[in-house]
Amino acid sequence: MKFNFLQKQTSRREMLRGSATLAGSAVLAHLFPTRLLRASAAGYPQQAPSDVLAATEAGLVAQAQSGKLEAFEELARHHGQLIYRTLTAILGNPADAQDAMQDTLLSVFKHIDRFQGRSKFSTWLVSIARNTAFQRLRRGKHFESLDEAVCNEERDFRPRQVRAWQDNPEELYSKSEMRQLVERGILALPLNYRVVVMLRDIQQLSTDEVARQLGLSVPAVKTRLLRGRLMLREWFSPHFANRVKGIAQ
Amino acid sequence: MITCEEFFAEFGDYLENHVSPEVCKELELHLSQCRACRVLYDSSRETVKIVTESISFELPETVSDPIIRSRHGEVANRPKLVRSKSTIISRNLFPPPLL
Repeated sequence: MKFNFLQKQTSRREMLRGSATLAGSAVLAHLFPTRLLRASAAGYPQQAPSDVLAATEAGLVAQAQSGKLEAFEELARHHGQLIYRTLTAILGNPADAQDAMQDTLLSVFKHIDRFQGRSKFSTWLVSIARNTAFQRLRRGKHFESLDEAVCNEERDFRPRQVRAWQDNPEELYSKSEMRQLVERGILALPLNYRVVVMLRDIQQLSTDEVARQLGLSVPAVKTRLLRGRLMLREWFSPHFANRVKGIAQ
Repeated sequence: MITCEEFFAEFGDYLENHVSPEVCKELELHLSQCRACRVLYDSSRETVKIVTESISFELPETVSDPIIRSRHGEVANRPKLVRSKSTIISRNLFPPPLL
């Protein structure tokens, strides 16, 4: 049987709906055999879902570190989408990101003993994905940095499109056409904005979480997010704007 | 009423609904009287909605993992199952990148 870690992909939204979506009830039952059920029956306060989620992940990481393959598979499955989107955002090319997935997971598997739990596991994964992606960029001599000091924040950026959009522009295209439009628009963004928009608006991490994942300050993330969104708005405008011009400022 | 420049200074937080009620009131008053900022706000809000609802860049299901062996001992394009961690990675076929 060919193993495919994508079989049980879960989005962050699904993840937040409850702990069961992380690893499935079987894993939860394995890690927390009867303790939670007993606590509930006895009227003791139960762990909040997020606590259970963290405990479950910590358990899986510990098992993976001790060489348990199933635990690593579960972690790879759960975080696959985050890794892939991070790679796509940095490399700017889904095909390259698919190749880099293998390198990233291989590095994670090889070095999982080094994870000491000082950061979130997902943060550690993203750091490995970033390293993998930037190594590829360096090899291709297309190197850019995510550093705040290097980044030109284009503080004087101002929107140029001032035409009002049609009502309900999302109804002008099918879902797949809209997805293609969004993907083309995001891939056309400069790296610094592309990564932030990808993690905030596509992967739907919080602003604080994006800052943690990328090692940036929250203000820097906010600035890049706004610029990226405004650039996307410029990208969309020819597709969605009314034919009659609005009033220019 | 605040100026367009002042409106734009709060624009990012306003899109995220991260402004105080007092500031929100000022921004809404500006929007009610400035058509250019209204156009900018409406289309930016639509942009965020379209992007967040697009579910873009989904990991393709055709991407399989050649690194990990299955529980049942078969590996895609690989010979022989060995379950110990040290032999799971085929260094010759997939040399790990330098970290």
